[in-house]
Amino acid sequence: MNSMERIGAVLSGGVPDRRPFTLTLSLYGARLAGVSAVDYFADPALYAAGQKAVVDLCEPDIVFGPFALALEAEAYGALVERFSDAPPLVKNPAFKSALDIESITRPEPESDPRLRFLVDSVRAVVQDQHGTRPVAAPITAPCDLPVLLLGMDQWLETLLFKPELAAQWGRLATEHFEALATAYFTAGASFLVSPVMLANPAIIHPELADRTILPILKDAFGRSPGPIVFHHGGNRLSRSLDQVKDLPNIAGFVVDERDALAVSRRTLGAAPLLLGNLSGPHFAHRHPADIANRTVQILRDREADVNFILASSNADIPYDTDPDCVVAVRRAVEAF
Amino acid sequence: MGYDDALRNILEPTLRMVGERWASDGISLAQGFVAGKVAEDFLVLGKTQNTPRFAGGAENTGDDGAGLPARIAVLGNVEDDYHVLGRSMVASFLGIEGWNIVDLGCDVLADEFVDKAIEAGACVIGASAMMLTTARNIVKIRQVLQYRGLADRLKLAVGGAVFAMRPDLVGEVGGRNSQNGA
Repeated sequence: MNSMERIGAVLSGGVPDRRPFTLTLSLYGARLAGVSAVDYFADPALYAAGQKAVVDLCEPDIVFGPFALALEAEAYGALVERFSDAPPLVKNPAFKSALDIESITRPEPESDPRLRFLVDSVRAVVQDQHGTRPVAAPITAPCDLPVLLLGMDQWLETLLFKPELAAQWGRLATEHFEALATAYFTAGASFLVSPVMLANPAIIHPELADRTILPILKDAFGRSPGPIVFHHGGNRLSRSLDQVKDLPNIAGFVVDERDALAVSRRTLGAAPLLLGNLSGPHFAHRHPADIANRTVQILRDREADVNFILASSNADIPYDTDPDCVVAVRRAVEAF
Repeated sequence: MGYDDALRNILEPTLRMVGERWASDGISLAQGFVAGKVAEDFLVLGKTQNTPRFAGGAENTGDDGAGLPARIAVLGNVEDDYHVLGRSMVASFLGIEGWNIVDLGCDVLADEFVDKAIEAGACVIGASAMMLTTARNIVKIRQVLQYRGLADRLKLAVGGAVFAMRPDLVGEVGGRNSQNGA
């Protein structure tokens, strides 16, 4: 079975030859390709070469488009800092005031160079994999885009105290999401993966999220031409799964390492994919044997869960991670 | 009820409760944000009205004759970090507790933290980082403190989302302490 068939078997209720797994190795491709992340996150050919090197190293069943959400903000004028060993980061938001919404022209994925890089990279990775491996396209959640464009404090203030203005931002973010999602699927992405920060009770309490965040997500996700994997976005997700599990076009959920997989599955029911829960940022500080042990523990715990995919959670696996740590996961999965 | 009564009997107990609930995951960031804004507005009001607490009195300078260190803190997001919210909330809460805050903003280099702390007569440097990659730059502040022989004089408090996820990181980057929901 190749990876596409393996994932297909899981999705269709069939029996894969082994448990599928994936690791978020978007950034790590730069290290494996021997290039600076500055160049890597600017050139689709370099990016695809990095993902090819990722496949050569550990053969994950899903590969990723650029996990570089800051570039979406840069398309609007945000000041972005680039690093040789980390993904780009928003240094200054694009706008000083939520009132600036009136003057914003939404950048198009076809014409803006930053968005075009994201989409072209997905296309290049898809072409390299020749249909043998699903390609996931990371995309900023529509409720979180204003955080990158305005800053968290401005967006919170707008959401909490200026509902009409917040609705305008919600519309912009939804249109942005729809346009980029459509471009990703046209480029051959199998699904989107969207880290969702603001729907979490750690950020916004559930009653307020119901009123402000969920309607944005419902509208935007409903417009997606393909499936979406809901990513926990850095906070524990299990306690809010009930609130988000019925959003449209959601194929599965990536949970945090601190979430109990069994609890998450109970909340979700049997059908949606459940992915997790090896913390990506922890890879750089764990021994390969420890990672292998954790992998086996998770696989044992989820042995009867046919809709479980072993995956790294949280942010990208760090640049300085020992390749043996990455390979340890593949070996443990194959040996299980 | 006067300003000082409102501060001591309403705002301070409320903020203490907010802090406790936040530390135990009992409230959201949005609720903490609103509490911080209220505290900030209250501080501004106090300064505008020139109330004794904010008129450069003992509570701000800390030199109360009892040998206690000055309650002056230098805060900033560490080199390459631009996540403002946590830092500004900590600044608000410390301000309402009577601390003088020197807020250095984002992307602050290690030497700048230490230079400004010396200049302001601070007893603590508060370094904020949201991500693992930027948190590692805090080590540079610890190194500057050691190199300049200031490690015993200036405490290094660290904070940010990454420390909630990886408490072991506090010691790893050379921090003296970090407190959830501080």
